[in-house]
Amino acid sequence: MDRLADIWFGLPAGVQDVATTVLLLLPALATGAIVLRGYAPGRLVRAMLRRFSTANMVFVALIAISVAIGVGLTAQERGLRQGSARAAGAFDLIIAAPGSEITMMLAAVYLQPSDVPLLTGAQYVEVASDPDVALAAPIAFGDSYQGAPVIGTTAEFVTHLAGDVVEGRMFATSAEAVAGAFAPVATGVSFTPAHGHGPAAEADAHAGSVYTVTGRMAPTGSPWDRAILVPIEGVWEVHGLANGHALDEGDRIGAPFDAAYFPGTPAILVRADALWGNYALQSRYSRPDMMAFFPGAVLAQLHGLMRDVREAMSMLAVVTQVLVTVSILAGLMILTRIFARGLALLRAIGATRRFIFAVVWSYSASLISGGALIGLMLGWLFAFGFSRIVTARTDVFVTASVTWTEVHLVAGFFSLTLLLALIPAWAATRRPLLTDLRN
Amino acid sequence: MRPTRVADMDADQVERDLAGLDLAVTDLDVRAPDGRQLVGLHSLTLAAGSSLAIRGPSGAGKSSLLYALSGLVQPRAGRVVWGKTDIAQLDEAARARFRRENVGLIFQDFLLFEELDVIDNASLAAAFAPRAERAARRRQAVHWLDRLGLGRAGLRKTDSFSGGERQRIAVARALSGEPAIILADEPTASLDRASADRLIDDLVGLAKGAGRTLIAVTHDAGLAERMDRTLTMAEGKVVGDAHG
Amino acid sequence: MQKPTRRHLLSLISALPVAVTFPAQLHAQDEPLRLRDLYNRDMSFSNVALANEGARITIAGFMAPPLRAESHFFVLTKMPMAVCPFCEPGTPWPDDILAVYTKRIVNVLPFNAPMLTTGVLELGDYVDPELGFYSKVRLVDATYARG
Repeated sequence: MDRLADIWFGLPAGVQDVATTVLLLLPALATGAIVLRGYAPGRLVRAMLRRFSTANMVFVALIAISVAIGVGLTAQERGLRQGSARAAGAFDLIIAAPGSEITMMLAAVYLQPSDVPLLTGAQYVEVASDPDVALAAPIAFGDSYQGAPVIGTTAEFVTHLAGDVVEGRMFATSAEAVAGAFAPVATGVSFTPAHGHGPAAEADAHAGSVYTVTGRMAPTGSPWDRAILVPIEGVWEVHGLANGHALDEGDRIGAPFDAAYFPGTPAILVRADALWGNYALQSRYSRPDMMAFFPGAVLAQLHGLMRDVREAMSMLAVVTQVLVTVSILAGLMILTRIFARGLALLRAIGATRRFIFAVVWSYSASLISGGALIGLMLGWLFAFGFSRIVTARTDVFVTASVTWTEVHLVAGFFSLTLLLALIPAWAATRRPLLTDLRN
Repeated sequence: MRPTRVADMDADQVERDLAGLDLAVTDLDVRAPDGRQLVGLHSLTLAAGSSLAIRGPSGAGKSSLLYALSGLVQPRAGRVVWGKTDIAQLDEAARARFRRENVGLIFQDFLLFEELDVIDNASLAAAFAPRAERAARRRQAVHWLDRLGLGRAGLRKTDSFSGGERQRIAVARALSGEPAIILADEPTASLDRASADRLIDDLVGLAKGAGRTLIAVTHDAGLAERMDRTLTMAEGKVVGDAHG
Repeated sequence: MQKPTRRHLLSLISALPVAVTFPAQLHAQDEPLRLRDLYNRDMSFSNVALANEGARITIAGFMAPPLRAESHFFVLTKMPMAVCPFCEPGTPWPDDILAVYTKRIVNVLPFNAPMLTTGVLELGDYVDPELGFYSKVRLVDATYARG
């Protein structure tokens, strides 16, 4: 047992997945091998499938749809989790004024606008000058242009988020901007930001202020791809505030900032190079006047909830699949009565009950196999289509793919229902031979 | 002339089949599920290779006797001995095997699978025969279809055949296992006169030529008069037994 | 295999092979190791650590809140992470955490739930190319469960 466990845990995940699939399929394959041993019922089964092709197609479609719902749901939920996690990947630690971590995460990571209190210059400088901090970037949201958020930050953050600018160059003055990969502005274009977001945005609140787009970022698979990033000095200046630097520093942009001239920022993205450093910083800055949290941890909590919901739904999907299959097997028992005369003939000319059993079981197995395979493909299509919609609506790049989890789901369903299919097969062998033959 | 034997049968089997199977029935008592007697037969013997018609009014027990002879119904009492085998003593699987190896059955309404082609219908038993016999079964099915004038019919859909052709396909099916015994239940009742006459020629000719025992329940005087012997039944009993 | 999928109601059916193998997870040693068993007082690796390098061992601890969702990585801590156990700036490597690289995507456990992690012990400096984190000791190819 120990040796077996050692071997199992030492196997790569892929091998475990394949082994699990095989183990899941084993009951079905073994049943098939035992039931069919010594027989060649293929032509008869094909004849039965052709006999009621419409009913059979409806059965296959029902199985396929119920399997597809289960597969699609699982694949889609995982796709959403992976997509949202990928979008949050660059955000190690967020420090903000005390409030809701979820609200702040949605605002800072997913750019869902909300009114939040600001951190002061003194707080920012304290964080930025902490020896464990490798990167402390202010993230100032609140403005927009044609629906795209305009975010004030630093050049380091742009590079941290998306690597080097792939088109044009990084902003160099407080009146320049870098566009996200899919932001609605072209390089070289100038625009005036609106104050606020969406229908409530005040288009002319910042009249006279203009940013010129100097470059474009690589895609990140996050809502930042639709954002326009500007130096935070620009955001402050547009709002008629100090620009974070003493007057004698001129028009310089970027860190370091002077606490006395720092109008505030809703959030700071912080990163430590040491693994434990992030935990140390999180602990150090979780205090009455500010909060520090890992978006990844908040997201993992949300994912936990999502997973629980999905599991409940998956359970329903599995129950549905089994119910659909049971109804179909009941339908098959009725169809079997229509085949009863043919089956009786087979017994009359020398077929044993076991052969009748094999024919009826193979017939059910064909419908179930067809439904399960088509369901797997339909589920993938369903998840694929839904992912495109989610990606288009949220800018969180979601890819749903059918993985071993879905294969295991379908394999388990396949084995379970092939075992259930033994029941109508058995019922077909218990029919009165002479009555059926003379009928 | 005897047709080619199923190639893969062992020597014993061939020897026994060549010898044919004599029939000896004693004290046969067949009952309906409600206990009513369907057949009460004191004694019946039939030499291998001979033919017997069973006649009588509806409900006389003709079909019940035929099914008891084939092992499709289990008698309450009595012996049904084919050769050395009392099939009344066999369990169901053994009786099925006995039918597969020794009996060809023909029914009034053919009982073909419409979705199978002609050759698949005629070699239906290949699906459950031992692997070694399957090819021979198909070969024999094709052979008998050919002999019955359906040699070029292999590609036609089964539902395109006339009643007479269908019954000939059913005869090919019955012969595909090269059985020593052919049991037919009203084989001409669904056919027009011309088709019936042709079928009678085929059936009697193919049975006699090969030394098979042929037993047919029939109302058809044309068929009965071609048989060696005619048994008349009423209310489960034999009321007449005519030879020649 | 268990981790992310184990709780899935979906895989009720697929629990088959898991159920067979899982109870035997604590096979490598009778008692799970504790984090401090890996070090001597001077922070050098203990004989236990050196003896088990490259072997599959089980260590008891707690899962720190994850830095990333949907990753193959988490930090195993000696104590629940409610209070920071290693907040002294400048410490090169605290002795009460362990980097864990999991076989499958981490299904996050509450930070205060005692857990057992089984994986192959790796000693020596390593910088994660993706996350950029430095670690001195790791469990890799790991599976875990509450315990």
